[in-house]
Amino acid sequence: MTILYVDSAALNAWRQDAVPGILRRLGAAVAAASSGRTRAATVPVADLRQIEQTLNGDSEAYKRLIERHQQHVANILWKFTRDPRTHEELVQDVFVEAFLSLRTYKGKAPLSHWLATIATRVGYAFWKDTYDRRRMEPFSLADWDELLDPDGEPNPDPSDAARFMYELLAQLNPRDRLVLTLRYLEECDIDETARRTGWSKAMVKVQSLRARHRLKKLFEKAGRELEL
Amino acid sequence: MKKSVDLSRLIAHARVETPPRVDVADDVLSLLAVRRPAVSYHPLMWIASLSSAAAACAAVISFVIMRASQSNALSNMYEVISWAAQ
Repeated sequence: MTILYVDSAALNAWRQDAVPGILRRLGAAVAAASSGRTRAATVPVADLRQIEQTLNGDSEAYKRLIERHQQHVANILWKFTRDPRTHEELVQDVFVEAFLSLRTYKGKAPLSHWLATIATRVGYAFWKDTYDRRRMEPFSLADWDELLDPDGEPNPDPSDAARFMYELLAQLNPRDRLVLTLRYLEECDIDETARRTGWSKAMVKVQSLRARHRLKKLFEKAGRELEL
Repeated sequence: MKKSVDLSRLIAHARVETPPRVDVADDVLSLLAVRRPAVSYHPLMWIASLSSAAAACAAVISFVIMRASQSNALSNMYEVISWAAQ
């Protein structure tokens, strides 16, 4: 994936210039979270403290943060790739990007929300980079008859169902794929989808409508009718 | 008649899939520890500044000397040539 170089001099300069302000802000957030006075109470104090320690140059603190949140990020990114190696690389990319922009985290929302937004951005960028209509994997609904039969297996294997959804949505362009993945597989509402994608709410609504329409057409071509 | 497909049933099952476990903490820290070979431009900047300053001084001095000697440049040349001829 991405090869990142961190210039130690630049990092130290950044620490000296920017970190005191961030630490003041985070310190206030920690105090508020501890006393339960503000919205920041929803942010785990452990996260805030470890971010503070990370910004002070403690790499062990960042390691603990990664260990606490990596599975949450991995769950999100498993919807963006089914290749275990690529999946792991994407998870790494998220935490590298998170580290490099840790100074922008304000401590107002839980860190997991912030990481979810980065994970969505990383996953979407991966789709855009790898999207090539000409080299698309052949996909036929007929291959999934057993799974699609309403009178068939009432409890299909979740892995089969997830793989089917992944391959089905891969037939769409990255934008359509992203909005449907977030709305249906991640169960994000309009607000959450807008936050994760950086789109406006109106854009999310329009994009969802278009994506559903394209998905229905895909089924119609195969002589099926889609209920969604 | 078209066969109907209820996708929400499959989506519900897809949601409960357990993704593979990952452990990237050490790899991320190793990635972040990678340092770009530090190319410090400070010495080069100092050398460039000092060279520019020296060049500017030389230019100013040359200009002043040229202006001072311009008025009798020809007579100086005659003197030098006549002295050499003797």
